[in-house]
Amino acid sequence: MSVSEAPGARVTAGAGPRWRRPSLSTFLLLTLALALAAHGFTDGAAVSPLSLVDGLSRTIEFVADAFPPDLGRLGPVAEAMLVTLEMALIGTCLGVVASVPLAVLGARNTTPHPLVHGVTRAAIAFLRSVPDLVWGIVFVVTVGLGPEAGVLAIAADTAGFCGRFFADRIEDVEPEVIEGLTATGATRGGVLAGGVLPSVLPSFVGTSMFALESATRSSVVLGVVGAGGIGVELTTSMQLLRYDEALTIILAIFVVVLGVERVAARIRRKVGASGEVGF
Amino acid sequence: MSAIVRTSGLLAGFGSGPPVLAGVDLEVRAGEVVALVGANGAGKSTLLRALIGMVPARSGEVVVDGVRVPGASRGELRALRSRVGFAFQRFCLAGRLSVLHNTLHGALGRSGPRGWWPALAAEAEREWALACLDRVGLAHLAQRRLSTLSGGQQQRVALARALMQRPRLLLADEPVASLDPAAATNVMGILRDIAVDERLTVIVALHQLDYARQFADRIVGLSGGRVALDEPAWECAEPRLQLLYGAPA
Repeated sequence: MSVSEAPGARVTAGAGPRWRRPSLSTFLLLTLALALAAHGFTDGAAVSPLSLVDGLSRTIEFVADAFPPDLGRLGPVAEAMLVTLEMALIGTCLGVVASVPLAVLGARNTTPHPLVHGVTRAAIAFLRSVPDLVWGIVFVVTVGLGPEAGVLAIAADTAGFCGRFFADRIEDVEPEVIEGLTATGATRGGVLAGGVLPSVLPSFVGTSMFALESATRSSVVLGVVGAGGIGVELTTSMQLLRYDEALTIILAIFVVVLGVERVAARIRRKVGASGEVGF
Repeated sequence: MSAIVRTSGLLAGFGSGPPVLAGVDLEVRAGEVVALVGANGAGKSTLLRALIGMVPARSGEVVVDGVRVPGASRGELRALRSRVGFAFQRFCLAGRLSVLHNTLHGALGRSGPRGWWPALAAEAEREWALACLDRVGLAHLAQRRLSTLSGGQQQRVALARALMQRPRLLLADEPVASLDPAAATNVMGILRDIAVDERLTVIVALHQLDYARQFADRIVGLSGGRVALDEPAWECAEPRLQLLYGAPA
């Protein structure tokens, strides 16, 4: 039997060429990415390879100076860490609460009017697109230095994040569920609160846990711009060249962020497995 | 007995497309069990939905339980729907919620915010929900997640939800279309028992002509959006029914 007569020959021929020429849009995107990278190493960001190597050796010096970590200020560090954790928790709660009405108004199947849907989706996109650090700077200006600014920044960021995913999840609710409830004579509020929201609640909890994880990390960084918490301590230690103290703070951040992630993952698994949230 | 459902010259359809119902004249007396039969697209589901205003009438008259459906306010329509049970072919239940929660949804039309969550529901409503589940033989599964139940069991939950409404009229849109023969017979039996015991008026759309003759008092055949046959079930001969499905006489 010749190769062309082999049983798989026709199938292989139908698989098409091994390599395809990229489309014009793919080619343009790749060219743009390469051009930006090249520009970044020369004129724009002007990233110098020598500086990168130099920075690596300084990092090693920093690590050498930081060890062993200074546990002398463990009390104030723990206190600041508690503030950070509380900022994350309160900010996430406020953001989640704000995102529920946004999601209801922004979901096609629950919005009272297409115009409301469009405006709400645009507002959610705006909240989500502005980075939390920028929200932090804005709220430091409006409410002053301290944890309040951090809480508001996290709430705005969470509202954007959860608002988008909550709305998408509501849109995934089978139309039959809504039709069935409407047929019982339920009001719009009854359909929403009695059937739609309980159906999506497990997904809401899972998304909120992701938001809490993200908020815990954000609340550390927000301190750098004066929005309270452990970030303020870390910035002070670094500016005073107390690297051993800074390492203590970094380790504390690691422990807390890891702890929050573990707890959040556990709650997500539990809710995902049972599909029920206490109703 | 007085008519609980009356339509005359009813034209209804979806969007701007041609009308699915092209002039339906129908009268159903209180306590009757009526089987609606007809080929796909004949207008059975559209007629059932038009009776509670879920498909708007383009013209003609629809009066259900004393309410003139075309022109009824949203509040009047909600009040009407709250006392008309509706069982769908695809159940239209919330799969992630418990059997009890789904049954309690039947009280949403009358209970207000307290009926939104089982935890807040009045004790009397919870007891009534359990009684309705017991009526369809599912009280022991009240706490189970609905999606873990079989198709036949889910349809029985849909009947329990309809009973929860304390209805005067029960509409069922091909309630056994997606069930195996044993589950289908079981559901049809429960439906018939409920109709007799509760003295309910039932209009059930069916494709199974055997069930139509076995469980209904009267058979109404739809064809091309009009009533093409209307006879007592025991007088309805098979060839005349087959005509509705395009079979030669």
